[in-house]
Amino acid sequence: MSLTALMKGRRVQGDVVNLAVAAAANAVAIFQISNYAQLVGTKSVKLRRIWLRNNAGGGDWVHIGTGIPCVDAIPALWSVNNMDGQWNEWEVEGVEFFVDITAYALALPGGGSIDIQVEIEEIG
Amino acid sequence: MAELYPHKSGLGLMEPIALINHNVCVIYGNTKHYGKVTYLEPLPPFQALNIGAIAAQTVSARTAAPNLDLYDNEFGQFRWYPLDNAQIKLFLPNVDGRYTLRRIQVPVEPNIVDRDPDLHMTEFFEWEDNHPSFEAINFSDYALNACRIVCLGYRFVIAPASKAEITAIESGTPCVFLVASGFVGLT
Repeated sequence: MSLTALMKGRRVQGDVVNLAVAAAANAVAIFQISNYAQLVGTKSVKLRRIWLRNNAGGGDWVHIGTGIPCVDAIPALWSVNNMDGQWNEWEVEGVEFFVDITAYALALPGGGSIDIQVEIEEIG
Repeated sequence: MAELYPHKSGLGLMEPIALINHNVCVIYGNTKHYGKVTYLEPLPPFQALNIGAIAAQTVSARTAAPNLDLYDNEFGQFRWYPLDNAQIKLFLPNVDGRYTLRRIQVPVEPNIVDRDPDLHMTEFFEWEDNHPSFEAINFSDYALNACRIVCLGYRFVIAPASKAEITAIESGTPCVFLVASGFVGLT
């Protein structure tokens, strides 16, 4: 466990991002880490809350990780058809990210899409 | 004399740098302003400045904080923190950076309220109307709608010291010395 596990950071909410195209290769950024040259120090973020809204026309797996194609950082979440899905911080592993967080829907069986929004804790 | 000194860092909330009838010497630039405190009052936490909206990954203009101005023969003791998610640099006055090292100027972030809850290390002093300026680094990939600075502290009024009193202080009469401007290091 790193010392940052004990550190209290600032909570920040990402934008509502629409996952409209399935597959890891079509992952999109759901929270962007600052790479601004004027930043003093290095920022990282920990995943704290996740909100999904399924408009996919069927249940689907949502993957959250890093990179495009996206590599999972936490186990995939099951998104129930036509339902909201919320995971709070006591249910989400506080994985620390030093690069943009990306996500994708596995199949989008009905041709629709899934909205996703995350809340992170900013460390650094 | 009470145990009062700049940036006092023991546990506890803010204390005034001096009490009534204490001698002080406010160093502003190369000038020393000697005097005796005749009046002091607290300044509860208040929004001293809103730099305004800042686009993502942008440094704001250096923005003066005239709301912190004081009258003649007065000085202020301030601690502060930003409300919004940016790194803030302090300049006192407008051109002299505070909290400076050779390579960087240390910014203050909202997390200062966790890391230094009594804000000891943010303390600065202002002489008369030589107010500070603040510059905000919005490092995030999202815009800020506002960039607000909260200040708290004390306002002091001093009676300027006579030549004899200054001589006595320089000979060892107790006096609180404090710096009210930045210092550019020597290369």
